[in-house]
Amino acid sequence: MTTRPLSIGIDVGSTTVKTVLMDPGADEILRSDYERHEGKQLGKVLELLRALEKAFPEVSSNGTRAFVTGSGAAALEECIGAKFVQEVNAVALAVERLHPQVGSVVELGGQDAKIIIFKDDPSTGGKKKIPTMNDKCAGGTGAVLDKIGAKLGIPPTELAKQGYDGLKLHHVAGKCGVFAETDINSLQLVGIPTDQLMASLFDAIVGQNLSVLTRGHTLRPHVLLLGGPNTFIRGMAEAWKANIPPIWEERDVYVPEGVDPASLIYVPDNAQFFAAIGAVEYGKSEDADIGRYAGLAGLERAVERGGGEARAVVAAGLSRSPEELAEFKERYRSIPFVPATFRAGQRVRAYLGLDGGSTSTKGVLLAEDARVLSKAYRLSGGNPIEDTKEIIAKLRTSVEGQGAFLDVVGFGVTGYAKDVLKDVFGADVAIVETVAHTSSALHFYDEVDVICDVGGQDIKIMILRDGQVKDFKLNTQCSAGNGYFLQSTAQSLGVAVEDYADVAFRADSMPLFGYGCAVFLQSDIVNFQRQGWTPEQIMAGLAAVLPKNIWLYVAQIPNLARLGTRFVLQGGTQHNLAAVKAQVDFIRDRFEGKDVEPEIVVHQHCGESGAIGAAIEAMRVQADRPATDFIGLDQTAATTYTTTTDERTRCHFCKNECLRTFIDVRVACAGGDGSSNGRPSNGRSSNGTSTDADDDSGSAVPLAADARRLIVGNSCEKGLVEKVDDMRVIKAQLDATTRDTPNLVDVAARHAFRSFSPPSVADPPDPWAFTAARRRRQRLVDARKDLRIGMPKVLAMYTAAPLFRTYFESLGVQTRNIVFSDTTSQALYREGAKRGAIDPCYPSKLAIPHVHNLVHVKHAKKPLDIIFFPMVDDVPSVMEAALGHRICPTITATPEATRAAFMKETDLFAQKGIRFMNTFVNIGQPELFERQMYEAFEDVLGVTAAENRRAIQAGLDAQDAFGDQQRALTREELKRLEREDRIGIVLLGRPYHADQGINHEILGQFQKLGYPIFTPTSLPIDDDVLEPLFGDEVRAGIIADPLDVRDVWKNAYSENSNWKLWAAKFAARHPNLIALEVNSFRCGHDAPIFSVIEGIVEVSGTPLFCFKDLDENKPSGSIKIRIETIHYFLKRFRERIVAGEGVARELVPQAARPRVQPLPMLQPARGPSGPTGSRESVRTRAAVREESWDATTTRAGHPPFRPLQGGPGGSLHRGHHAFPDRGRSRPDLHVVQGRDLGAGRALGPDGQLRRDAGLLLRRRGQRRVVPPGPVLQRGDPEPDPVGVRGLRGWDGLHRGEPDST
Amino acid sequence: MNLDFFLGLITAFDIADVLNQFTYQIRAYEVEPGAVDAVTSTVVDDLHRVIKERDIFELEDHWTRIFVGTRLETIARYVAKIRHLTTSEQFTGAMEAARRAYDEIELDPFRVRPIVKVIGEFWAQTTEGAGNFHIHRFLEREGAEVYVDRTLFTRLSWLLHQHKSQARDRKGLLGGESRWKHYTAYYKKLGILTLAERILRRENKRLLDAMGGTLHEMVPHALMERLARPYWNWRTTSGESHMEIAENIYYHTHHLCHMVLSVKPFTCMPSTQSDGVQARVMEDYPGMIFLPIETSGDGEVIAHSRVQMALGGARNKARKEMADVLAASRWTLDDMKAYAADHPRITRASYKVPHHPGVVGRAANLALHVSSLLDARPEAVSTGRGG
Repeated sequence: MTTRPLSIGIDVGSTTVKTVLMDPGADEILRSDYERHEGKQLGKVLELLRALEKAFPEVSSNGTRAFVTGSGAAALEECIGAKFVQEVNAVALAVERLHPQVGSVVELGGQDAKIIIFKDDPSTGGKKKIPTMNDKCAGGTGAVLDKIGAKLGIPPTELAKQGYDGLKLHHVAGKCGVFAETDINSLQLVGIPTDQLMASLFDAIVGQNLSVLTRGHTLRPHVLLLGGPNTFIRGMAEAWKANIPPIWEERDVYVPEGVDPASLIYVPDNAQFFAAIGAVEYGKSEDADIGRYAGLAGLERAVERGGGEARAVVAAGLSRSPEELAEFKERYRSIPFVPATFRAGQRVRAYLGLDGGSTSTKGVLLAEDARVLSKAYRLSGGNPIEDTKEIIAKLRTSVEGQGAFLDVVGFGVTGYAKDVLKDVFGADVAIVETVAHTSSALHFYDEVDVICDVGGQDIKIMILRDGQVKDFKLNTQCSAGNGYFLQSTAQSLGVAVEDYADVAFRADSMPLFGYGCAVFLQSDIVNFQRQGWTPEQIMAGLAAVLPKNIWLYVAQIPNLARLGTRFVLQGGTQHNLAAVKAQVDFIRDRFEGKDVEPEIVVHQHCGESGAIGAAIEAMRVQADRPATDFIGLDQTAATTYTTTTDERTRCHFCKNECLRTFIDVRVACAGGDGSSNGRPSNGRSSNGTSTDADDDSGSAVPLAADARRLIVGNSCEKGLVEKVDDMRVIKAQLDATTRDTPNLVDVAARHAFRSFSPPSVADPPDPWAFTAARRRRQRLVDARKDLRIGMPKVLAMYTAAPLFRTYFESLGVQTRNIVFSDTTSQALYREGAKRGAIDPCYPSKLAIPHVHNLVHVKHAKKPLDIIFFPMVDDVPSVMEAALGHRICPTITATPEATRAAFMKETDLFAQKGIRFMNTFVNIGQPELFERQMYEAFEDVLGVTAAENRRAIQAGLDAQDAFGDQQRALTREELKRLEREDRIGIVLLGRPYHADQGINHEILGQFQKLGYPIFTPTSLPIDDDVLEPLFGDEVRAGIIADPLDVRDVWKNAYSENSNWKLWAAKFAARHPNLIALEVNSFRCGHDAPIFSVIEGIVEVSGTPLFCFKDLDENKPSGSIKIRIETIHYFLKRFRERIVAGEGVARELVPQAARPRVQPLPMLQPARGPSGPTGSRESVRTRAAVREESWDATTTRAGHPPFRPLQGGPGGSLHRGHHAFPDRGRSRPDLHVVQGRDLGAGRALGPDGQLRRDAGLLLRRRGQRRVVPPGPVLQRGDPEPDPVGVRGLRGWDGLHRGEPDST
Repeated sequence: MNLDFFLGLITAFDIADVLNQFTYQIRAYEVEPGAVDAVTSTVVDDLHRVIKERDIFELEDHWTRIFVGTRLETIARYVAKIRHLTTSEQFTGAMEAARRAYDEIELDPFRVRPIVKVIGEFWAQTTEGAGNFHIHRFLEREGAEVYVDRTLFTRLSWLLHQHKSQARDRKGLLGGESRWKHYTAYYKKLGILTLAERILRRENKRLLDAMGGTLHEMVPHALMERLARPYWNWRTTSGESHMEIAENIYYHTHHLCHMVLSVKPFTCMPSTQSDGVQARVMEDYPGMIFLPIETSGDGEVIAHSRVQMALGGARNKARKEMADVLAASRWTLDDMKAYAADHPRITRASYKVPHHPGVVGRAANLALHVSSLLDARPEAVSTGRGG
């Protein structure tokens, strides 16, 4: 027993409690404990302190002091009389005391990550600490490890043994546990072993911390690794040791000769206790009466009453009263499903639907009248083929167990594994999940406005209008709000998921969770537990936050009422009535104050809606086919397979070097069950992934004679085959498609950086170079031909590269000496991002990696003299009447932040002999621009004012040529689209979205599907093109010019926003274009125009699809779903265009008609020669339309189709809907809004409906004629000869001569 | 809206800014919690009344009415109104009354408080609420003296400076105009903007003086521009960026704060970029504590923790500074407190403690000041070490 005063250090983290008892005088640790608190922080502290008091009774008597630190420590201050110390400060103190030689510290905690860099401070002679912490994201922390470890089923003891060295690494997103889990899922499915997955995760976490958390600082040796994950998991320490030394080498960090750099990175003794030790160390500098340990009485009271903090944030329970709850339960109680019964010997013809989801697999059998006969469900076992076999076996048993025979007449699959399943089992159709869920909801419910499907990991919200899918939202960036979170929370609280609702409904009050990241919800749970909230209250609170996460955080739709009134809730999470109650209440609340009530139903087969949708699609497709492709029930049961993923399966056909997986499937010969044709699929399957075992190709992985090979895990089509010849065939097909389908985004990305071969504008050699100044200038002029200038291929360079390149070339800089950085790639980003000190939008973050590429790759290859990265403030523009033509301030300022990143610790540019020039330029103000360039380059290139002026003119000419070239291409393609009634996609994005590293090659994938892609600035601006689209509005005075966007956006000062808005207007008015909006995460300029674009495009009935919040992580899975969904809808949309006024064709089998209501938008029209119409008929309609356009433009001043103000869906209405008063600019007409019509009615000033001359309506290539009708007086009931409700979405309402076409 | 409206508006901004800064300067030292807020509540009501019932100059009521009806009427009206504003005592008088009210509050300025200068995006640094995680009150709870900017006034004068700079950049670019017309317009613009700048500075100074002169004068934007120039091109017309860098350097090098906290909402475009440059600034100014935080979204707990982290360093600086002052003084802290008790005016809110070179904290500066006052006493005999 010691008589000296002791000190207790307590570190209460998000997952563990650490305590140390120290003799501060001797710096001796007398006792230490480290335990997980499982959410009961105070309880665990009490337990540990009791043990401590028992072992050291003097603690309670001899003036012991206590110091607490950690995220959960604040509550302890009062309870035990301790003093709180911020954890980074505590760790720093401990490090300075115990390891003064250390240069940096990396501490990973449960939910936070900290880095402290110690630098010598010459001003004080001491050390300066640069601490950084993660701010809003738990990515790169122990939480991610825990999450993935649990996912892979690795027990904590095994997790600690996972290694890193010598293991193969795969790409895993380290930014967020959610992304990491997605990547791990995919890798797991292709058979990557667990140890490689974990090593990849360690690598990702280390990479994430090095690129973000260091804020661009260099971790200086020695590096101390602290915190639970670093201390206990072998692979984490190994990953740090592998990743830090290369950075030291690159940045010339001094490491003593003969010393292995990895040996300077280590885990010290007591690494897990450093914060607690540091807290005690802090106490040494405090007065002796600070932090006097007050014993356990206060803590015991706090634990007894359930927490030390007031429950400030509180709400009533999930229901207002027992009566209300009873009423809710009555209304939303699930009707138990009763499987169909069959007679012995009955032959049951049924459609099989299967949904291979990420967490579970669901299957259904649908009768020919679309009744659900039976269902099957299983949690995913990690292998979709096995899961499917089991599901089909269950379904078979449900029929054949009764003595009947199952005859599968059609088979549809959906879910992430649909393509593999289609190939293995011979499904007739594989449809994307969004389509399947929509189809299923519309099968059971009429006039649905919104479908909200909440599954295990996915959230899908489909927004419909008039029975057509108008938009959909997927949780591409975040999984907050999914059912898996509720389930795992319930389990961690010891409640079975089936009992969730019953438990949650018991709570009469609940804590209010802040909606958002699931990882932070987890920390909220810990906090609320600490405050004494009971499990049922926490579960109620979590259920209540679910709809907020769905609607506000993921979908970002606060105003639900604008979506419509009929909501269908589906997905497995709806089995949880607590979640349903919260959803219903949330939706109802959002309608408060509106004059309508929402109607909310839960899908009667909410868990299997995807499978049902797949079966319905199979039903639709099979109507026109003689037999199913399904391999048969016996064959399914007998199917075996082997998977191979190793170096032999790696694809070498492109630089991606994908590690593919070969699945060799053996299907037994056709059995005698008679349930299907039993034939294996032949040749290449629908997605081209299958190869028959008929070759002796010399594959590195031999294929058994009776097996077929599926190849998965490839990132492009070339990886679908093994032989070079086969690849060439595929490539030739791809090339043919891309040749036939221009992608202007790609064109812009390539051409912007090409030489325009300008003529020289340089002065001839100066014959009078006798003065020093002239000789000096002549030297500079002579040096131009050898001068090498590097420019980063990033941000405004996608706009201005032709200008600057031509400027230099025209002055005599050699074309080959103008060097751009490489195109953005993951590798380029990872290499250079470590210098970044901030976390702005991804496009801006790319600037540092691109300059890094110039310095470390291009300069290393052949020295660069200058890196030119101009700060572009504004640009020249053809947009009319805009307030300004400014570039985004982030783009303007990025070169400055980039410069700082390379000059921060040492001036790297000076070291490398490179001059970094970030000239500030106002390209949009020619005189000023000329001055700015002259001042910048007078002493660099020796330019004279006249030379400078000529070079700038040459640059601007090149810039114009760059634009004209693209517009010419688009113009031709638009004509072709119109001729062929095809659809083109207008990219609503910013110039840098042409960077394939930013757009994640999404647009290229659409191009491969046959859609030409146009950028906003590639859209033609010729009068003959603009006249039909904007002419009426110009004449009506709504806009001053076709290139005026002020009618929709008054704050038109941002050039790229203006183009985006104008392109939206263009797409909304052009019958063959649809809009695709892309947006980068954190874009401050996009945020205010999202709804404006929606308003412009959607009100016209033009499809608008979005890829929002793109960043450095490429969520391939959700991108794929989105593209497939969009492609599906566009195919249907095109069929409508082609069909013109054709009558919809019923595709559903006659027998199913009474029950099945197929998606209206899935109905291709019945043309004269089939669903897609004949080429001749297409040409005829196109010709007619062209004639009408010609008439419009030739009869100047008297266009045949003059607009009526605010007609249903009319162009005027679309254009100025945000500013309805503008519609009054035509004195003879004014707008009356008809709520039910979704559009205005056209009335003359006399109150008469202007119908006397007849109406011509146009919509997407269709035209519809309303004959002259009676003149109506205001207030008269309006006859509706054309069915005004049916007019929503028509492209224009024009008044003119009746047209018989 | 007329000139009276705008003059009233600008005056209200000026008063609000000065009052806001003054209350933050003293709140950290109030002996009775809430005392400053209670007085502020009354003061604001009084000032509101004064502004509302302010005396407005009318040309017609003065001898200058001779200009009424002439071509010079508008100019005369404007000049006279501005002259009236700049010479009137009505607002300075009201501020002096406010100062007297604050002087009644008992303060303990010997408390060692790290001074945290709050800068950043305009809205985030100005707002006091959930929009910036209640950062001002959080800092005060953590034992800091918060040093806020005179945000509105700073912004106004920045706009004037920016216009002047832009005009200079374009000087000589005729753009099709005649040379005479161009230069006339240029010098006219420059003259008006310079005059406006000077009036703003003068008016602000008058109010500062009325409050006792304890607050730092407005820093000229030309100086700010020079400070930021090695790091940031001021031509990026988003004020937060170059001002943030300049303020960080200015307040650090002038020993006016222990730490600079920059607050900004999520995705603030220029402010985030300037943070990248601040990393370089910090390398060049050892000892500088600068922390940028995003104050929107879902990271309040972690944002507060990060502030606590940086505040630990600032607190250490403040303590060390006070310890150094006491160590170098002949007098003990008790001596100084005793002297202050005998001379209560030196602990009053509006008492101007001289700022000593290299010393930041209010307590340390006061200790030095009192120490010199004690030294200056003829009977300078210490009861402590100095004795």
